[in-house]
Amino acid sequence: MTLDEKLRKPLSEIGVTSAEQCQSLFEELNQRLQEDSAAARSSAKVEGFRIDWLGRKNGRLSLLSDNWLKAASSQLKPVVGKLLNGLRIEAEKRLNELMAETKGKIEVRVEGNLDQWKGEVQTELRSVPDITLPGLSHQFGAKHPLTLVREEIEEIFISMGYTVEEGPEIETAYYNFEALNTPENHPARSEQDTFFIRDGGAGRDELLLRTHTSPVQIHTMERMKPPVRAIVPGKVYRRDNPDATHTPMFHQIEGFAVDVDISFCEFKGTLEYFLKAFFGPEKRVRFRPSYFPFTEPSAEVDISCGICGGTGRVGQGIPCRVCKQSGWVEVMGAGMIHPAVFQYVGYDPEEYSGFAFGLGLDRYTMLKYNMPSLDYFFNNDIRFLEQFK
Amino acid sequence: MKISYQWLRQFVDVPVEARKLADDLSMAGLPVESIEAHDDDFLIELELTANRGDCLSHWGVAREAATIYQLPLKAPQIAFQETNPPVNESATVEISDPDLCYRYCARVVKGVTVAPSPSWLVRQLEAVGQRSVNNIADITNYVLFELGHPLHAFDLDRLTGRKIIVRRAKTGEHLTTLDGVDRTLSTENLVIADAARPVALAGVMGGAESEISTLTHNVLIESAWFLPTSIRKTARTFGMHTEASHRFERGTDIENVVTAMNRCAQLIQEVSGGSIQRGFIDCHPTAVTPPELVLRKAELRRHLGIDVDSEQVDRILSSLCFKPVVTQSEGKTWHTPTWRNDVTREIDLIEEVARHYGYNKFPPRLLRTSTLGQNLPAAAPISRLKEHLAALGYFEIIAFPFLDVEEAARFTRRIPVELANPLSEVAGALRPTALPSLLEMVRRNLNRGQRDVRVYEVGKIYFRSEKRKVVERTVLVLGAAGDYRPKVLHEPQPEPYRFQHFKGDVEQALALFETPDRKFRKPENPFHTYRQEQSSDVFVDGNHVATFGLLDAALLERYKIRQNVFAAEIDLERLLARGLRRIDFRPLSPFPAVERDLSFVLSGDVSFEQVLKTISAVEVENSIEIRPIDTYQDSSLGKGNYSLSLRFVFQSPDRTLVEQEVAPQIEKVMHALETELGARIRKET
Repeated sequence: MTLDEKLRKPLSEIGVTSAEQCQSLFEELNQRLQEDSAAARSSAKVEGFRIDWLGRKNGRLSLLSDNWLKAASSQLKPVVGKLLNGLRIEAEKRLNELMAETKGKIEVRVEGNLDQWKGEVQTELRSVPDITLPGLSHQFGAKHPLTLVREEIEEIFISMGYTVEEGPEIETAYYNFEALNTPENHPARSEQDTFFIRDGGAGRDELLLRTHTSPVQIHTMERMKPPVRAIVPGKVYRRDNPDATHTPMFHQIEGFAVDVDISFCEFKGTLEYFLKAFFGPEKRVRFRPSYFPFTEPSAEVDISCGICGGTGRVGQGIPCRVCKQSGWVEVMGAGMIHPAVFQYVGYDPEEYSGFAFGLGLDRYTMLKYNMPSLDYFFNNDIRFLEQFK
Repeated sequence: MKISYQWLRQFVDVPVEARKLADDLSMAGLPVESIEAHDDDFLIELELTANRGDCLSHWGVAREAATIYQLPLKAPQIAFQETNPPVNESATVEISDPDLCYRYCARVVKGVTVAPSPSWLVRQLEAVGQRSVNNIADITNYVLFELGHPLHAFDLDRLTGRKIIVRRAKTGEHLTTLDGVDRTLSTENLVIADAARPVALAGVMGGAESEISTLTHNVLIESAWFLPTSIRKTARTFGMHTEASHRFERGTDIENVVTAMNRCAQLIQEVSGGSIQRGFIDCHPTAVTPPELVLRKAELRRHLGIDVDSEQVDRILSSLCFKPVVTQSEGKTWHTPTWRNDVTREIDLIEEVARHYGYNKFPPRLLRTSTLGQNLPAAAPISRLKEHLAALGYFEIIAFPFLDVEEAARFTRRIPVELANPLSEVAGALRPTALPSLLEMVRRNLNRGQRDVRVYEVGKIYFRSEKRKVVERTVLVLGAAGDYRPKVLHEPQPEPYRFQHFKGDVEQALALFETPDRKFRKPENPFHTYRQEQSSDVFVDGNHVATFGLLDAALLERYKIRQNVFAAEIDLERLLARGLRRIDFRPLSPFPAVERDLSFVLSGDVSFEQVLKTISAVEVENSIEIRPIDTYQDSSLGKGNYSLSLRFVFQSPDRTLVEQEVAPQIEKVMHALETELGARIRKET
């Protein structure tokens, strides 16, 4: 009986019952393996070697596993398993060597159902790898920096119990102005150059591109009863010709909270908390009186300048350009929601109070990454975008 | 508006230096834009908010400063000699439209000498950015910056009938304003007319014909109160913005009308001589009654969160010239000064207290109750999608949504939403497709020397529905150009993007969502956006969710791109509605899997989709995966035929499969492929 004939029969049928017998049988196999390997001198012969020994269906190791190992007595099974594994490792090693000799770079696929191991072995011929050369890496893309910063801000507010809301970019004059206590011919309307929609109707239903995210305050309060805590990220539009600090489209995040127990102190505390969470706990925060038709009292919120540390000077007395020497950087318009706004949405202003704020996402991103100009965001230069990988 | 530090000190003894004053004004709600030294003075540039028209003068700012420093105000001394005959023998005033002009006062100064202004006046005006004209015009300007009320001086002798009529213009009437522009008026515009014609655009600009000149001897000083919205409308109609319109639009003090006029008369007499006629004309058909407002202690506390000491409240409000009317247990009632038209509610009084108490003295507190924070339902899927796309090598872009209407029509039948006032014609509409802006970004990056470009945008498109309603829809667009695998160290062979690569990217994006049965079909491609043979529509449950492929060469040429670009347009809202792919846990079998490969030859018109359908109809037992591993075409296979190799993976959850179990399954498959699809089996391994 040839070796190959033996492989097609269970061990018991070829009279192998002891570990010693197994041992010598495997020695015979190993001898044959070495002979075959020595004879494989062309790539075709190497492939023949692979099929003979490691072929998935009729390779010797598969046969061995199917016929000898599976049917082996419980006493012989571990012995056969161990010997088989040793032989397989030897066969793979020989094959890799053979392939390395015939090709520069090789990939060896070794498969078998001897055990659960399955996979690919990759070897490199290069004798000594230079470990200081960079490795191969997959080309990753990235989220836009405005997305990164928006998500960061959303997370801070979600952790404070805020929901995220959204609304349409094409708005009516009612939601963009009137319900925000900014009637027609209000001086505040001329400060915002508005894009109007052609054939967009007239009066309070006139269609326009929202100039701020504040209309979503109205939509949200119309839909929900207090307590409300929400932020609204979104695109807004103003009819500005593009320059370093203006683009006709930009991004705001609106936020507001309404409840029975919100005062100016909670307004201040919440915004301070957020600003320190975002810009860093060492920042100082100050509130300056201001004016928005839909808040009263209104405020501009400043943080101490991160470039000069609030001193107004950088290095040896050079005036800080980021804060124009004031030591403060304006980061928010905000205030207590005007009772008139509550009346528009049917909240009782004698019962409820709340605050609202709006921030420029683009500006926050510029501050966070110390960017000089808005252009970068909308030029979408990959050399810029890949900095945020 | 520029404020002179020295001028301000005429009205209040500011106890601090100019820079400190600037800070203090800012912190009280009068934002300072900049401060500059000017001779022995400082000029403070205020950027006042729209509600504080009352602070558009030195006197107005002085009122705030007096409150900040708790100091008394020193009003300018206004005193002069009047001369007979009384003024109403020299001129008459009539208000025809009292809904637009609540009050019109006039004084007449006779025998003036129009000349260049004295140097103190020239300097003072130049300091606040005003050019000197002549002594009369300069005085009206001076009083405007001093007291905040805009005035106008007419050459009395050029007023036909020496008569002033305040009325709406008649349609088609003309007026040449002081800037030399001939303006055609409408009934929307309030004018000052004489007996014959309009002589000034009320509250905006005077007329050239009644302008003060060196020939002027007798001057009529106008001091009036106009309705803010009317002035605003007129100024906007003519694209005009003057110091006067700026103040009238914001609302002026109806009581200041007389003070400012008297101050003007006094200074004209001092500077240019002449005699002030006795008395003044006061046409006051419509009254303005400032509100009386209750400030409840409980409301003050509810809004501000702390108890501000009552004495401090009283001091702040009194200093701002609010007058207590009644005191009750719940709080005081306050009479609002006539110049504070921004204060109409209790909450406005609360703000007055808060800003002069000091915003930064209120203790910061957090909300005491908890609520559940939640993002939008679409946020998590979109965030995962973006992370997936990043892993596939794509960069997120954000583009402006403006698009040329004609360009839009080259991509889609959707009716674009046009802008009434676009920044330019090529940005005349909102994009009804996100493909052009994506292409533009691909082009720019290629032009900048970027070799491999993979970008995507999650953004909105805008269009009108059949019923002309505006619709906003969120879409995903992908673009890829250059190499799928670039030439890099260790990998000398680059691999350019092919249809299959890009399809893989699109499939991975789609597969994030519950899209189990994706059908790929030759695209409709009505606009020849894609190269027909290398593109596809994708349907899920019969609904179109995507179109993708290699872009048409002519289209790329139009965008000046001279290389292959693949693009995909994906209806993200449809995917979001289907939700993220559900993850169903499948226990892992401890028993080995068995693989069998099957290669066969098919006619070119048989698709892989048909092969899969045929196989799934025969119910292959214990098969856990069927996957194509090779396909090629070769003359040896017969004309139009191709070879396909499939790998079958078998695995049982409860036992080790043996050959006898697997073989019949493969037989079944082979039989089905042969009989149903005419496949010729090449080999089985």
